[in-house]
Amino acid sequence: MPIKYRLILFYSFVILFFILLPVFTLYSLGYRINFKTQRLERLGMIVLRTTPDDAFILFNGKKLRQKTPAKLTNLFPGEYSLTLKKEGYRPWSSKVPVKPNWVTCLDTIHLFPEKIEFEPVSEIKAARFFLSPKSRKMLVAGELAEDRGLWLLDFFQEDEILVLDDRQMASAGMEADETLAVHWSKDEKAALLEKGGKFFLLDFKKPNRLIDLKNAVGFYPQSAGWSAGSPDTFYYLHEGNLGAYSFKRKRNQPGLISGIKTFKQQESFIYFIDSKSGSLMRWSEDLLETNILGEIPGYDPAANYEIIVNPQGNILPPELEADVLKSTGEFYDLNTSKKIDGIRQAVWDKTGKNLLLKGDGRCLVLEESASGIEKLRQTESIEIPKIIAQISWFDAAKLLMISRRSAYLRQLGAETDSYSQSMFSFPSGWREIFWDARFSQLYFIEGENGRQGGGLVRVNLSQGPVSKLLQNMRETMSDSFHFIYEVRKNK
Amino acid sequence: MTHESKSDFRWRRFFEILPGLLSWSFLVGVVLLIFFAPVLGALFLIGFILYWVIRMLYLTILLIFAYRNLRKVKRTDWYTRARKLEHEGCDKKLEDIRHAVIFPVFREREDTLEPSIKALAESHYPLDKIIVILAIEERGGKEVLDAGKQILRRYAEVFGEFLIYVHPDGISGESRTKGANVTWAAKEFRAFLDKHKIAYDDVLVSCFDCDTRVNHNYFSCLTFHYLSHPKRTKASYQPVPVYHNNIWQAKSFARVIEITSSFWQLIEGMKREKFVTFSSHSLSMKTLVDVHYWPVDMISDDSAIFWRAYVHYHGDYHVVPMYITVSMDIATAPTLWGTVQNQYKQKRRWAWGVENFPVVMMAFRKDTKIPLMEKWRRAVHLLGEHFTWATWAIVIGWLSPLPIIFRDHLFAQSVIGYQFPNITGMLFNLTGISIISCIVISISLLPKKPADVPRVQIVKMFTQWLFTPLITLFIASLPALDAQTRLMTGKYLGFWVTPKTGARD
Repeated sequence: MPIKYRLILFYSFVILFFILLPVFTLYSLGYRINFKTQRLERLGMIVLRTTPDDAFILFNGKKLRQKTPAKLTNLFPGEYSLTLKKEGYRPWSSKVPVKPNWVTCLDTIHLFPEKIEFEPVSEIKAARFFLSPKSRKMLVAGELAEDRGLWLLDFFQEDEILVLDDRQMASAGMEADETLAVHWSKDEKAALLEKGGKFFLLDFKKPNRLIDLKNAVGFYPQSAGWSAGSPDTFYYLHEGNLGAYSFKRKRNQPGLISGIKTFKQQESFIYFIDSKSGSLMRWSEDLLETNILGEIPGYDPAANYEIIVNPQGNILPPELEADVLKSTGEFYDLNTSKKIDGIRQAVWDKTGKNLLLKGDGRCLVLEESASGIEKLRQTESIEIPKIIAQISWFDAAKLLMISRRSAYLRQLGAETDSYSQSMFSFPSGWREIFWDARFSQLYFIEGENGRQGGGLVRVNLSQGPVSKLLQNMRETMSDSFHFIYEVRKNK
Repeated sequence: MTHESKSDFRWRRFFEILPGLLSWSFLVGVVLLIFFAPVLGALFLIGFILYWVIRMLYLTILLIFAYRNLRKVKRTDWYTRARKLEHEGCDKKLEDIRHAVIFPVFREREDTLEPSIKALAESHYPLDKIIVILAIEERGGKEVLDAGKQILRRYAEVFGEFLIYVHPDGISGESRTKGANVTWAAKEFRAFLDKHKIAYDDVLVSCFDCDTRVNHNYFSCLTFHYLSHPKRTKASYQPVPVYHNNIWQAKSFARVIEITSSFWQLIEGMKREKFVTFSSHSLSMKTLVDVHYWPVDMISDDSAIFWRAYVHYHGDYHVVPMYITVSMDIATAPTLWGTVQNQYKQKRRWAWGVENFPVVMMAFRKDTKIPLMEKWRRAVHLLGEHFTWATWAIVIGWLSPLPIIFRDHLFAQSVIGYQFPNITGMLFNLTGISIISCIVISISLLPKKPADVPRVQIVKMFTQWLFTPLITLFIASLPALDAQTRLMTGKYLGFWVTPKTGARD
């Protein structure tokens, strides 16, 4: 090939590159030509994930070929109507906003089954129950045949063992009333039982052997939380000092951090309030580093505070990681230094984008903006009728509201109250209730009356009967429940 | 040894540091961009991959044209064409031209060398015009010399001359390199020519590796190009190195690397004005004497001889690509890991050609006759080639997944965060056109399958290309970056002799 022709070829490719470069740059940034307006506009997109998946998508009334999970790309900014349908499930509809350059992420949509099945969890007559954080195990205080005490239910091993009999519980003063609290270790092979300022450690491999923390550590701590890195170690707070105790190695490390007001452990981070300055700080178990996340406005050293950690804390900008709730009912959004009065409880949803603040007779929903850089903003203030006894996140767009007799869903942004229509009615009311957002299942004890134990029942609100869900998992599972969960979550 | 002034030393070190510094700064810069400005980082990566894909397509077209040349050259009767030149007013007679072929031998076995001599003996060219020179390293041991003598006994009558020169070890000013050995042989051969009163410009010297097996038309083709060239002594003559000696026996991994190396040479041959000698090459004895032979202290003697001549003739020197093949061994080993190591070391040695950059730049500083623009063009090209070599695969293979792996909250929520894998995936798919072209050309160039090789090897000739991503990750750029880092830090590379394990027929 003569040099002349080669140079023509070369420069043709150079020109091609310089033509394609801006095209690809603009395309990557979401720019497309709107032929209607004959203008270059920046697009957005919608990401859809449903539980269960394979739902049909009706987009502005038109049925799409793709099913969930799906990415709806090349969408001009605006509001779109979206309906998801799947046989055996109630349709899901919403008006979805699309903003230029940003992805509207609807990745926690739960499709609600048309038929609800109540399923007995165990034959134990339960007084109280405590579900483990990974939903793999449950501690149930109750009676089975002649045996009374604390039972460990392993949903994967399909096993029920009495880990603490009634006598042991009574001698330790751990009666299963409403003041008993359970702190599960990260591997869910042990738990700390807390009641009336006393702490006992229960290793499930050694039933009926309660370890009194006063004997092991020398005192009862103010609060405790398990380490993420080493499952046999828990952190505790005592007289303003953070310590750690490893029960297998029987090793106590007092005074890891001093001058602490309160702490909260999540993943490999310990969030704490510095008792002098009132700063909310974060200590990394792995890096052994401490960062300041924010200052509590008008900090009162005498008051009690609770730290509310965002579940996605480690991927958020530090200023959005955690907030603080004062026991007197004041909520501090440390990002905005905003104070909201009359708040008793604060709960993030699974996505870490929406925060539910519960007060008396009303709740607030704060939403993180799509860009993630703007501050949390209030989206909704909802009056709660007196019949509602409990309120939780159902998914990122819905609240689950529970009365004594029925469960309701409240769609955020809906113009009318959608909880006027119940999802289902409890057969005979409930006494204890727990919403397992991880698997969208509701646990409760049947019956409203008295101290007598009742049947422990669960109902799955998106996957169908829980036993089927567990069976499917068991067929494909390794020992790592978490792994399976992550796979399912990311599917 | 010439004394280097303080100023020269500083300049030389500057030019030694520059390539590595440029490559490292670029790579670190890209990583920092991805971390601190992920959107910009992703846009840069998309632009880089787009550039690379377009470049690949351009090079694929050049490869196809080069392949066409190769086919054309194969069908040509070069000897007849060379003879016809006499009637077309050529000032030299074909009969006067002699070919000296130097085989440097270190510790290579007789069965490595003999097939190369045999290939010479099968040349379609008067063998009495061919002079074979075995340049044997003294430090290789007596066995090597004895093996050389055995070959001499067998082939002494076949060629015009068969000479053996032993290069003494430890000559002051020399490194233990191939260049030192062949230079010694060339000097000895000069005495031989003087003794026999043979004009230097009547002799073409081919410097081969001891596993180089020539095409039977090689010397006819070379003679034609030499005689027909208006400035024949101001040019080197470069065949296409292919690695066919043991291609049916070598590991797939190594095969793909060497095939792509051959293709690279084919493509480079299309860019005549930038072409530089590589591996086996030929040039006039007059040129060799004028430029004082190959450098005796450089590892990349093959390209260094070009630059030496280029500077000596003040830029009036170039390389003539000949689309005729010479075949060599694929660097391999009995195990896959050994093969990877050998390939890595061989590619690092090739990439050590970056040592030419300071040498050329120092020479350019002192030369006043080469036009400034020409110096600039050559310097930028030389530096640019080594920079690209050391960085492209690292950016594409190692850095392009970083925006996905380390995407922050903001990037993950943006359209580009979602589009990035799709766009890069689509661009990578386009390189399939180049890979398919490579597969087709590589299959059509394959030598006939030996009878003892199982048929499954034919399937492997296709499936071997699945190694491409692995090669991109580990062999494409890392050896070059390694070489540049060594040059930058002054930890100079020693000469590593590629183990020759070719098929012994």
